Amino acid sequence: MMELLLFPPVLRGFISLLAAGLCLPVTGIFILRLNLLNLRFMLMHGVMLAGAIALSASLDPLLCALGINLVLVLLIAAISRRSEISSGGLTTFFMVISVGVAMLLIYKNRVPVQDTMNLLWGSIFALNRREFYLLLAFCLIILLFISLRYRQITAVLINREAAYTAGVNEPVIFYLIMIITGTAIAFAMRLVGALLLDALVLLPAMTAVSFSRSLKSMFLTAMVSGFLYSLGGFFLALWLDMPVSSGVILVAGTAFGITYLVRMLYEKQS
Amino acid sequence: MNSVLTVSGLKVSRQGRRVLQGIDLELKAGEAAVLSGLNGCGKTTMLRTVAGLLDYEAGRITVHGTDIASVSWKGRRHSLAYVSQEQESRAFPVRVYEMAATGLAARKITARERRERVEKALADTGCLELKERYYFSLSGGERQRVALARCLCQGASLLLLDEPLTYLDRDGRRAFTLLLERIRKEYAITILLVTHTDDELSNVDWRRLRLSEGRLSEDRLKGNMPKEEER
Repeated sequence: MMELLLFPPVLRGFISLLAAGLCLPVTGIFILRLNLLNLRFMLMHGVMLAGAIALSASLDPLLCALGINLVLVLLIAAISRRSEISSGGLTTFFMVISVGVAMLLIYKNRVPVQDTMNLLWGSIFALNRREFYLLLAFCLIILLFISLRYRQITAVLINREAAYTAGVNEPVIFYLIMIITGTAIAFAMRLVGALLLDALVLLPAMTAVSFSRSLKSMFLTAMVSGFLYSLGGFFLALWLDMPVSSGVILVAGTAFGITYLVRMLYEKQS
Repeated sequence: MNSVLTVSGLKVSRQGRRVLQGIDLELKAGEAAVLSGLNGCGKTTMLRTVAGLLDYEAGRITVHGTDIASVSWKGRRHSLAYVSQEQESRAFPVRVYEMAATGLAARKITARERRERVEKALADTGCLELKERYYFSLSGGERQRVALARCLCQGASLLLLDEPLTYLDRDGRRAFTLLLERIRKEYAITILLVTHTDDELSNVDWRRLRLSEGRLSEDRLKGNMPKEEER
């Protein structure tokens, strides 16, 4: 099985999955804590729109996805800060618009159904060299952001208004959190697809929320869980000859289920 | 005494409605005031505007002489602390210590100094024994004390409290106001506290302000005595 790693696309995919597994769960914590679940759905639809644009105009799907998601998160953050419109309403609006325009483009440009479906599945082995380096650079940015701005980030996650009056540059930290989340969703879609990206982004964060005893340990647990789910999922997929994204979700889902049960039993006993 | 907070001609509109119609207010160092009024009269809007969380149409707000709309205010924002009405209740693993330490999030200090300041603030508010507890597991009164500890860590000289007594029973309200009074004296801190009715604060001799129809309709000391300057 290990000899497969000698093939450059497999090795690139393996390293990408481990790096994403380690770093993307950080954004899962942002999503859970700031209640950005709606935003995550909208960003998934944004990636579908980007895919439709890329397929229609023969552009790079990942760059399109990064661009569309960046525009969407900045729009949502700016509008919800400056107006009294709820971010839930805004995300629903942009979600519907994104998927509507995507369907229109796919229909009008006669994009093959198989290509469209690929947007939903993703593939770690289809990453080209540029995408691979972009992903590694993005993971490094997440690590730097969380380690250099840890106190300000946690203050914003705990209470944005209190953070602002404590002197934290809350608008900048919040925009950065939104941009990083949007970018993470775009990468996760490319790696494991729309239907399974939660295995990489949310499940490790949910495991961490169940088990951690402080904010610091929550970030670390989410990262370690994501890394282990990705590692386990990759080898399970190779062993059982199935898509890697399915392997990751099987491992992540099972591990999360077990940790949830253990926590329930522990709470009952105590 | 020096002015800590000066508000002049403050006008604020929300959703197309003029909520504050020209507020003038001055609070001196160590002074405490209770701002009361009916629901929707603009108490919270006023507090949030003073905290810099809402934009205003006209007027001027200064804290220690610095206009909060100026660029130089950015670096001094920590001199004001705000405790909102909403209480965090989601089950998220945030400990009391971490919650209080957010007051120091923007400060570049050593880990030791940080720990000492947080522990002192928690001790001063009677929360030191709670420091390892999850914040969401605390009672309403304990949460308010932790929020106060966060403000003390921050080193704020002006404390803005939005209905901090809402979730407390009668004894809890009494204990919390006495704690605030002790903190005010010890730290020489200026307090502006918003509440539905100032009856809740009958045990402290603070300045009473009443907001109605977007204007300050009353400004007196407790027991119907006029303010010192008006005597």
